[in-house]
Amino acid sequence: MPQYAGNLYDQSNASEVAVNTQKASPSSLFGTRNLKFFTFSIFYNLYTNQNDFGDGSISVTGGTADGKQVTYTFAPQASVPYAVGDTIFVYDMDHGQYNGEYTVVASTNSSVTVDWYATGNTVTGGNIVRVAYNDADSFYSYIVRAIQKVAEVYYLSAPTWKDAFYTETNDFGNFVFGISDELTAYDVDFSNDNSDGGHTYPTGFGAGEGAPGATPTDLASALQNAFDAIGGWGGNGDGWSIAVCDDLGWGFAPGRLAGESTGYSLVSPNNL
Amino acid sequence: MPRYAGDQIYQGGSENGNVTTTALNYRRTAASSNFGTRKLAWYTVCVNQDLGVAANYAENNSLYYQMVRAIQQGDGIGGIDAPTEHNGDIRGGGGGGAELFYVGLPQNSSSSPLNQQDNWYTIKPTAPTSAIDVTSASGDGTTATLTFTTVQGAAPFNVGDAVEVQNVGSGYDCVLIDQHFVTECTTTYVKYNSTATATLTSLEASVYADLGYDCFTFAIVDDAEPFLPLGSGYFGDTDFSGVAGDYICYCNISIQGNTGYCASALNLSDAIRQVLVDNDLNGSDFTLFRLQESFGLLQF
Repeated sequence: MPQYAGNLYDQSNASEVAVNTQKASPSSLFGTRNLKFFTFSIFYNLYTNQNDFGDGSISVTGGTADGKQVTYTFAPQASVPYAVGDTIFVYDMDHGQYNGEYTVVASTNSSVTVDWYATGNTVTGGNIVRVAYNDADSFYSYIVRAIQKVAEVYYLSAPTWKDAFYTETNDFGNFVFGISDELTAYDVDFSNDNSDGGHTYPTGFGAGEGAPGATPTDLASALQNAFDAIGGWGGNGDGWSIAVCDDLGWGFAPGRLAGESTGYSLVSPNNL
Repeated sequence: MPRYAGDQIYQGGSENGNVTTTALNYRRTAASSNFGTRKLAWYTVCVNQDLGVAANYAENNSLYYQMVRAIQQGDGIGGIDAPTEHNGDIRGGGGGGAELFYVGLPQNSSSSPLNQQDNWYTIKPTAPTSAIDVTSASGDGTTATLTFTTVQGAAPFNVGDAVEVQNVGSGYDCVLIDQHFVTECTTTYVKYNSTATATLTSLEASVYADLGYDCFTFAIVDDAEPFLPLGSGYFGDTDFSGVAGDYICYCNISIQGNTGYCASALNLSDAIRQVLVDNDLNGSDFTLFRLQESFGLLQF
């Protein structure tokens, strides 16, 4: 039997990521825990920390590009909109080579400069928006801390600009997180979910099942409690959901719904 | 500042962050025994389905096993190419040598049960066949049978492949996204799930299927910080000189009318290509993507 022929990890479903402790190949990295990966989705643009992706954007009126730096100019603002070190995202430029995510190296109330090698075409069209998920009080940071209150986070991704472009709404935010099911303080309740599409999911991760020392409490409920404590998110239209990520071979995508906000249903972003 | 306020979340990625922002976990300061891991880079390998990577993965010395071994340990033969240097990063011939953190089972993107259930048709890899002419149709309300106009040299579709049927009518027609799958296929006919019951002859219709690709995901440890691609070319490129010796280049792609970036890990590609060549197969019959994060870990 080959070393990686499937007998070394759970084949019963594709959401069970890495039962690494069962790997036979010596490696310091295989001593990790069995992980569950989830996608968190919410009707809020976590990347820009705004309701909608374009909120607070500034239209580019011109600029220069010398092969080392690009300077975008815009109508004079009441104050300098970007600080050196801020991250900005530029999109919808007439020439796509000037689109992208950049770190601000210089800024005035009518221009912003970034390091970027593109040159040769006019810097016209487009918009600039400030990337704000890493702000000290960003909603993303609240969500992550809320998750950490109920689960031991092993893996965490950041929101990306792709959320706005690859889903059909601009007010959508996602990120992926992985938790160790052995160490999760709160369990995930699949019991009320009818959206499994016929998947065969293992026992041992349902409410009250097989979580040594765990309080058999639903992760989604615990998250909702945490969100309620910071302003009642989820009940006012800013619906959120968590879905188990399936390993589909060509990537990980949200599959079975593992919980969602109370009072508002959020469809998984399976609408591309 | 919150504990997760960005400075502890990997923002560098590459190409100014437009590629994977996968967790630099060791930067996290929150007390957690599980944050002591290293940065991961996720990939998927997609191989032409006729090589049987998914169907035969459990066989001794299967292609899947050889590919995983090559990714982990190098191809062990010497590689197609002599070692090369790129911006000071030595790439060994044949590639590979990455420290694996996770490897998934290979699945066909059309016929595997999960890919049938999860309707990710618009973003998953597809490999549609040519349309085959159909001359007659019949059905029992559960299964439809389409008879090919001419006998095929071999069964053109695999069980489980999604099918698209055109110009038959009477409830037979469907498109790939409609979730109709091959239940049986020979050189003369194909059966698929359908509620149609009419018996039709002398048709000028056609059917084709998505053969999909056999894909598997894996994650490697990538401790290297990328060099920003300033001045390195029109599209730019980036070296990852870490454990994998990964080398990634970028090209503009268009998804739903928006510009994005694709990445190709040439070093790991070398390892997989060498496995195919060693088995007297076409070394180009695969693609390798570095996965990126959005609402999942995906190819874009």
